[in-house]
Amino acid sequence: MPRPPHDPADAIAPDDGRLDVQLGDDDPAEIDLSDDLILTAQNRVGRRVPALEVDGLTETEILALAPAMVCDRVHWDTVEDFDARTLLPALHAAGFEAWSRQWSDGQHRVWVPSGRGYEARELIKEWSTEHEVEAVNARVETSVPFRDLDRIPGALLADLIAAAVDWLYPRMVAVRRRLVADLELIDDEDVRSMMFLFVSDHLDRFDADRTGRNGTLTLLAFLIGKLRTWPADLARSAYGRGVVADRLSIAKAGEAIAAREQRAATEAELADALGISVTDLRQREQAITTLSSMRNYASWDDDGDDTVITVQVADDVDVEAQAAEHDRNARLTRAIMTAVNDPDSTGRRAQDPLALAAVYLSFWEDLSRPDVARELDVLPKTAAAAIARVLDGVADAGLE
Amino acid sequence: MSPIVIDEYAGFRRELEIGICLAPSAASSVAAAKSLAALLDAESVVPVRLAGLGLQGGRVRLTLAVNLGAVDDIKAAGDASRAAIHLLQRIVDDLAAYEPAFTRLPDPASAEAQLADRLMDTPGAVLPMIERLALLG
Repeated sequence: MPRPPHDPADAIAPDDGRLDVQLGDDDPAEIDLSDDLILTAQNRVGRRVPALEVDGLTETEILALAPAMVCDRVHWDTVEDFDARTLLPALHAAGFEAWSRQWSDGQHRVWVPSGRGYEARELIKEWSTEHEVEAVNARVETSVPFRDLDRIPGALLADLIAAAVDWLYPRMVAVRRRLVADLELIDDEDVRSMMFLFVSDHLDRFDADRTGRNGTLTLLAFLIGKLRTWPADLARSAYGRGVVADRLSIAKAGEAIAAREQRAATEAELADALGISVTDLRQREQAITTLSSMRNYASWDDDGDDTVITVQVADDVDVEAQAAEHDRNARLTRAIMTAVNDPDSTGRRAQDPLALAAVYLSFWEDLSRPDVARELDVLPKTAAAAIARVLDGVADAGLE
Repeated sequence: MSPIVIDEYAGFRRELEIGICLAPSAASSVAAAKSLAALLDAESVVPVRLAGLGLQGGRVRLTLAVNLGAVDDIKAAGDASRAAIHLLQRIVDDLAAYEPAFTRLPDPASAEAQLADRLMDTPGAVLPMIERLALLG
């Protein structure tokens, strides 16, 4: 079989560090790859992900203490709290080698040697019935990689996870933005600890023997791959599959139309692309909005006549804070524009530039009420009334 | 400190600029710029300038200064101010995919304002610069 133009074998850099990439029959291009640069699966130039080193040991040496096995995994839920390790002696007594490990999602998991998963599931069900543990939805995944991480002594495992999170956290900006700002799943201050749990959970399935076009898979490269699907997985468990699928399909259709038409998609175009009615589209968008529940919103302080709105501004360069702030401002902007521009009205009252100017000077230029009045050459009560008109409109939009 | 928002020089028309920024992802930044250019071409009656261009959190940040008109016009809801509101509404509606949001105009001494300033002096320089920023993002 002829090899495709981007066969991995073509992408192994020769000793001089340069790589010829055949982009097409008549369009060869030469890309200079230094030691740190690699070709990604999408044939883009990327950076090599380093191997971790903790307490003087490489990740390979640490993980060699818990070698990768191929196992069958039984996983299930229980109605009440349960520790799956309590049933391991029963499995051992039945002649099984079996391991268990707690994940942060609360599901119970037991790994047994490959080929014995279904047998183990029946034993687990029997044991659960005997011990009056209500086990539900027990499933078997066959031939999955597993490491018994309990074999890694001392604090090495925790140090390895911490080192991985230290490296990943500042680099997974897009994932963090999706979690905090786009999907509103996790508060900014919780992302790091959640990432620690995520890495801890997935470490037992790291198959270090996998090789790709850029050599052997490192732990960080493996985790990056897992982290990319983290927001969608978390959203599915938080919101339910239907709403998340709707959100993803609406976003995908919107991006496709925007790329094609060089403008944002209209509702009719989106509905057409998704094969649904505009009414149905609106209902789905409403469900998404309701479930997203607009967290982290700007605070409003009603202080009698001296009503002020405080738009919280990040005072550092925290990426999530900036993203969340921009998201808040975008929503606020839409609400303000709706309040100052009523196309259904006729005449001069349809637009209210004085109110827009007063609000902008107050909340984006941080001018006091008297200063706003002075800048706009109006009485303070006129400026206050203009701002109040907008605030009423914004409050009606539910941005409180 | 922000730049002077309203021109206070005696004898000059005192005008107000509203800052609004788009924050497209790196992948969609060129499409955003083209969409914005098409929209501004269609609404050429309102004075608009590129006030800032930079990167923030992996996103390209395009800041526009939309002239809301002279203070007297703003107070009276004159044609110029109403046209500016119409333009802002179109930016918010038509470019919603790029999350348009009001923003404080960047300090003229800031890097993003200076970059925008330089690009405005060089015809055809904005899109290539956005493409470069998108690569960095």
